[in-house]
Amino acid sequence: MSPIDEFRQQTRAWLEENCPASQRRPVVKDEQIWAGRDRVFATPDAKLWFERMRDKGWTAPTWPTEYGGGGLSSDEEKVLEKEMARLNCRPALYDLGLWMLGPALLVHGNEAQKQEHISKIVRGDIRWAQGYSEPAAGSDLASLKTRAEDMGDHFLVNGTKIWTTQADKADWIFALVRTDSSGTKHQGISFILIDMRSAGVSTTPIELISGDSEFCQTFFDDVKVPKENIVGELNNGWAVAKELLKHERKLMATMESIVQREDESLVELATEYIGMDESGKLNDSTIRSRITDQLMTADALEYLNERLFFQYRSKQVDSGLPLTIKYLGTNAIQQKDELLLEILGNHGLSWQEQSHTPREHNIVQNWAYNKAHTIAGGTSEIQLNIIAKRALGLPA
Amino acid sequence: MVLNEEQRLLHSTIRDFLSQRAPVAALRELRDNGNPQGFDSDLWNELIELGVSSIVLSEEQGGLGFGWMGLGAVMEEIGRHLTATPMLSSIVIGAALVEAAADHHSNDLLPDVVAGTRNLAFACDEGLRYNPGATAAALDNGLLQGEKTFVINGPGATDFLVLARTVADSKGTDGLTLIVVPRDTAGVTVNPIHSADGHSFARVNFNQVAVDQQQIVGVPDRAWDFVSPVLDRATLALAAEMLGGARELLERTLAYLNDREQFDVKIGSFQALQHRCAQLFCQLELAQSVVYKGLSAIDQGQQDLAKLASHAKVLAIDCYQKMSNEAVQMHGGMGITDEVDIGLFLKRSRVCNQILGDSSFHRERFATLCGY
Repeated sequence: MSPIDEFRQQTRAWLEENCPASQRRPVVKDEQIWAGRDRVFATPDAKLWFERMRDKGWTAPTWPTEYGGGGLSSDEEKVLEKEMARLNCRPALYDLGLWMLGPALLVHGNEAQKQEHISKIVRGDIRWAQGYSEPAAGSDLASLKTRAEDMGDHFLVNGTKIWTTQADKADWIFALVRTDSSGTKHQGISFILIDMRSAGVSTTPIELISGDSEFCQTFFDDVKVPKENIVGELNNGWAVAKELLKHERKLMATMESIVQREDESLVELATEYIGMDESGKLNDSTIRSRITDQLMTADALEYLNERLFFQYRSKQVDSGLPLTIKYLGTNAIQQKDELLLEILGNHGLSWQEQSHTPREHNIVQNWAYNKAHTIAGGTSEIQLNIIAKRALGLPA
Repeated sequence: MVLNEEQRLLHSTIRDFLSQRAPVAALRELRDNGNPQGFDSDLWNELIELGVSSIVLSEEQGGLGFGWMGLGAVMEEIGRHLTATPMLSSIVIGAALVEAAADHHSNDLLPDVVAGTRNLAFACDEGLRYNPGATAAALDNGLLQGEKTFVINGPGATDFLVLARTVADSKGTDGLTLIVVPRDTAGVTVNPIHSADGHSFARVNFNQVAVDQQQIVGVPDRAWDFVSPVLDRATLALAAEMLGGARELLERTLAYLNDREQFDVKIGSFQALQHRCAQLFCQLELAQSVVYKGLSAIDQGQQDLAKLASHAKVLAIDCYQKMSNEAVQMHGGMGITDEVDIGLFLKRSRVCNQILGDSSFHRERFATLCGY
């Protein structure tokens, strides 16, 4: 047996034995296991599942074992993902540190920073928030104005960050701040880590069209930050940010499978709400045709990801290909949401859980919430700009 | 889903060969100066010498082991150069049908087809569009009667592989038989069609054509069992050709946008055009991923390719159609002149749409296969 097949067999056996039955269903929002100093588990099974995965380093499967990661190769990681999908295992940990900061820190962080932060991320001890956008710096992120002033033995941070996802529940925040205003706007930005318990940090949730308030505005008012909390070189934070954005875009495109709530099947839903004729076709031919569009896009995206994986593995990456993922993936999610909503008819208009089933309510809420996908992490229009310039070589 | 080293070498060999020996100008020559068989036989023989006709065969039949990913690379280049050859009809469909039938024709017919001394054309479409389940041509008491309306490579074929009904009251794709009919058989009339893309097709009449047992290819009355998988593979190959055309169009359009100036700037600097190009690129790579998924599934021995073939064809149709419309538009006035090649791709895309099933056909098939 080849080593990878052996790994597959061991992984399958381990998951069978260690993943509690209750953790093998699609995850609902309230039962997601988020990192944090004060993390809470919805059930004892969730705690057990998290601890077992954490102790194996499989909350961050490919990170180095010296920082508590799983040390797996990318092939092994793919096997683990497939085996987890086969059993329907829920993700064992949710955290922006895990998805975004960690990978960037492994590239740009110094040894002390890795020692300090990586293992805490793997262990789910700290919940991270992201401080990038500002009220006046969205797509034009580099025009950000929150500044960190060098006070000799520390930085003094003043300004505000917006769309800081769940910052009200976060322990730390990684942020972009201006440390020099003399050069071009991309110069003079630094990447900094701030403890949310520091004096002068405050956060207000923002109510969204979905009724959720996952995004916040975070204010920094004379916040003292130790000088060793700069990641990468001073004034060179843009490089770190770009590294991290790559991970965020990948994440946004696969949001459905990672953070999403229960994954609705279009065909199942349509069969139930629209019905089929005696020949086994959906009663609404237009909806049927649009389901075909959507399934074809969704499957094709899966193949595109697979193709990219093989390209990475054989070191023949078409550099333009990864740039398409965020644009295509987030569009596909919204296309599906629109269809789900339409299939429900007037039951897709529910705004109060009491009046309709939780499933119906969930679909309409997701539909509204997911409008964020084509905006957050670089709007679709920004993605197209990037593709036009970097992949297609069109002039600035 | 990535080409290996041998396949990459094959790809660049074919690309270099076609761009020197048969650029798009070769299609113009064929279109404008006529050629009764519809392709340049010297060019076809040179391609055969490069090995293209044996790629689809198993290694026992002399296949070269490049696999379907390798074949896809060849088809992509054929699409990029709009090369008119019997590749799809005689090899990807014809030779593959004969091999799949696994009978005496594998010895009698196949070597000649692979060598290019005989040319096959699959006679399937009746009426306005591809729909094998509606086949009305029938073989009854040893006589074949029927009309095939859009036979690819019809004018240049030496033999037709005719799909005909042999079970009188059968429905759909049940009760069909594949029959090989030499072109010069009494009762066969070939009417060439000058199609919009400059490639050659024919309407072929079979009027009381005498057929003996030796002409049956594969299992009688149940031909669809072996024909259908061959056509699924061919559909994937055709989709690869179509995306080759679409990719060529994107590159030509980008080059134009980087060159043409208006308002004292390159028009490629306009965001309205940049976004459309970026969207086309996304659509192309999405469709390309389905084609690679299908071709590599064949190479991995996957038997049932029906869903992937329909999926690939639909996305290839949408992509090539959109790309060619946008390419014409973004070339402005030049885009609607015959002097510029863009219009040739535009026309080719619409012809490819009809070959082996249009968008409606494959969308319907995909939905049925998915159970809704």
